[in-house]
Amino acid sequence: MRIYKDTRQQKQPQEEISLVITRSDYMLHDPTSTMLQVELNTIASSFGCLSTLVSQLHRYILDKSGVPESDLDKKLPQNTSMDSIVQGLASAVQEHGHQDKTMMMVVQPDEQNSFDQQWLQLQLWTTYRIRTIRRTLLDIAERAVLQEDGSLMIDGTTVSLAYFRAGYTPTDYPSRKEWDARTIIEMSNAAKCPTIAMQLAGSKKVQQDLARPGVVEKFSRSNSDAARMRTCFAGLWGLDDLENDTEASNAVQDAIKNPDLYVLKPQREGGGNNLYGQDMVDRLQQKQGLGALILMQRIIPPPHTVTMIRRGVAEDIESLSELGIYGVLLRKGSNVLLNHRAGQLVRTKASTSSEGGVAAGYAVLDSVQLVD
Amino acid sequence: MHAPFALTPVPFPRQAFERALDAAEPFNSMIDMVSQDAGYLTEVLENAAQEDAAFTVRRFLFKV
Repeated sequence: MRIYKDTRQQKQPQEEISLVITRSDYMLHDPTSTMLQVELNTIASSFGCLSTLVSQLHRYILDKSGVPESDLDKKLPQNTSMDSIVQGLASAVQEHGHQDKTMMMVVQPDEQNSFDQQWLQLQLWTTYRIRTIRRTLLDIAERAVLQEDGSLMIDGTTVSLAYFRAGYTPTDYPSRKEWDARTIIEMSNAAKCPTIAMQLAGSKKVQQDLARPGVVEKFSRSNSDAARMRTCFAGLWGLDDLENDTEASNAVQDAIKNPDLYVLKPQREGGGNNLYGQDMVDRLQQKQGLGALILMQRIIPPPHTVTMIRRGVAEDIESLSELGIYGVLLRKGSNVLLNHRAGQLVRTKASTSSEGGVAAGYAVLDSVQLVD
Repeated sequence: MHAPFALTPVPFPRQAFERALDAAEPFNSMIDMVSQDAGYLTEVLENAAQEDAAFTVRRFLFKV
């Protein structure tokens, strides 16, 4: 936040190029058969390349196992995530326009998931002749230089786009140097994916605030856009004014009667554990101090048994799946140059696991089969 | 070592899937407008800061 405020005052006057690769994550709420949003990512939205490959793999597997081509065409949606994301990155580099045509991927020092990143680099080169250099925040702190004209140079190259696949977790900033690196990038005329403002816009606190009445509407292009987005929101109620807030107090009553449909969460990060079932009911009935909690609709996806292949071993596991829809938005100054969806990702995890990360080894990559 | 994957695709209802696709541009646009509104971001993120303000607001950068 401090960097955000400092750099806003000092930034170069020429038009800022802001690229964001979003991924909106949903789970299917079985009782109503609607997709409800789990979160909206605005930084380091990964697996775009591996997702395209898994979609192709699944088509191949079904094809080889005898599913007719007409069925495949009907059931398996296209997944352009790799090409769409690459095109977004290339557009930002092209808008910057420097002859070095270089994207700097900001990476973690011990990146485990580099294959998904390497596909981006390969496609950028073969399709657009754009070079990628990989640098950590420490590399940037030690070797990047801000030129007089506002351009960012490192190791003899001018950077057209800083693409962050790091910088989204506190462990990426172990010292003052890493913050300085972030600052120098933000102050330069390089395109950023994302800017600090865009990263802040994707934070949990902002997403909770957006769900309040009138806030989504304030930031929508139209009423129909706002309505479309609201149908994706799981119910969310602040409990600090139950006497006057009838919607919230009705929700509390419903939660006491039907606890399986709700979860009680702390308002602040690190403020305690989520409460479910009887624990939740007991806490709601205590009535005092409820302002520190928020009541949320629980998304109930349909479980299904999935054959997971991990480390070469196949295992049938009862699972649930999360659908991510990628998006690309490119802005230059006051103009939005690109805004479109960019493919999808499915991550499937064991129903019993509390972690959802594929990279952490708890979930697997998957794809979509449409059912009418 | 290969990335972990499921053997076959997961079923999703077509209408629900298409609605999610249709929501991409509105969400992109919304988050873009939010990012352009310095006053709003400052208000939401600074008001939430308590106790050690510098540490707390820094945490809002992260998806933890």
